[in-house]
Amino acid sequence: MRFQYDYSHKKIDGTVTDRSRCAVTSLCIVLLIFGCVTFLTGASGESERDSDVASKVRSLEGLKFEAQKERNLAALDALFDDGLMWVDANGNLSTKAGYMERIHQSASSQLRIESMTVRVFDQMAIVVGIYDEGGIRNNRPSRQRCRFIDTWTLKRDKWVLIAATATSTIT
Amino acid sequence: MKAARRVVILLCLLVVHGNAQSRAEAESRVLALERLWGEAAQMRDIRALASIFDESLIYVHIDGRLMTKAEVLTDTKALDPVDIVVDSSVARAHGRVVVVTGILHLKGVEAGKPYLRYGRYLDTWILSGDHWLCVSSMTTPIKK
Repeated sequence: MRFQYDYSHKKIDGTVTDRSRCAVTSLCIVLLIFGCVTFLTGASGESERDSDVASKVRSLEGLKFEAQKERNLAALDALFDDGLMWVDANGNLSTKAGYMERIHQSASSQLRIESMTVRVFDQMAIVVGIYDEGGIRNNRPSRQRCRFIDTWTLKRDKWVLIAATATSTIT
Repeated sequence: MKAARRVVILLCLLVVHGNAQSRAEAESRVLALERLWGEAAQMRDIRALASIFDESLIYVHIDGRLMTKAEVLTDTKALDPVDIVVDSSVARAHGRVVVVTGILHLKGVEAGKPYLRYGRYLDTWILSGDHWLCVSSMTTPIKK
């Protein structure tokens, strides 16, 4: 049995009519617009997410400096990952427990963030900045300016600090 | 019932073992890349260095300079020969992120004068596709 198709937009010999060409062009335009919108909303969604993460991490940095200044161990405990690696401005490496012990025994100090930039990489954020620290060391007033890099990562829906390093050598 | 419980326990053990294995694997891969970095810096192999740095690398040199990837590569190219010895390296994996720290001994000649510098470095690596890339590095001078 042989079937013969004769759609209104297609001639029997297989050539495509203007109406059919117009439909294909319209479909292509719709697909193109859909693709562009998807791409642009995807990209803007990603940059929106990155900027949300950046502002979240920026506020956590603020909390961290505040907690260091006030020697608020409970707040630091919540912000620090258990596997934290902390390198101070003299190049000494501490664990979370070691750093908390040091903060507990230290005299209060004045800490001020001078500048800070956050870079977001998926579930990790790097913060680079400069802080100014003033306090009493060996019964004498001391002041130092340090550049720092902090690494934050998202663990169980919570951003935690996994590494911190600083240097007082700034050029 | 007992058999089902055994299967669940076995699966849990396998998951824990798998996680520990992948963590150890990530840490050893990144430590190998750190060794490669040291060798490449010593030999001024710019191509090798370029392949292990992320485009948005944040690098703080032992002398306090904040540098981009391009600046680190240019600086390495122009560098006088330097001996680099790394010790006490420790790596810690946090999923797709690995943090490495260690002590760096730099021995060289600058403006005709020999120098010996010690620093504590802390590098952060991220898994991008199949490759580990260094995204930040800071070396803090250790005063001896």
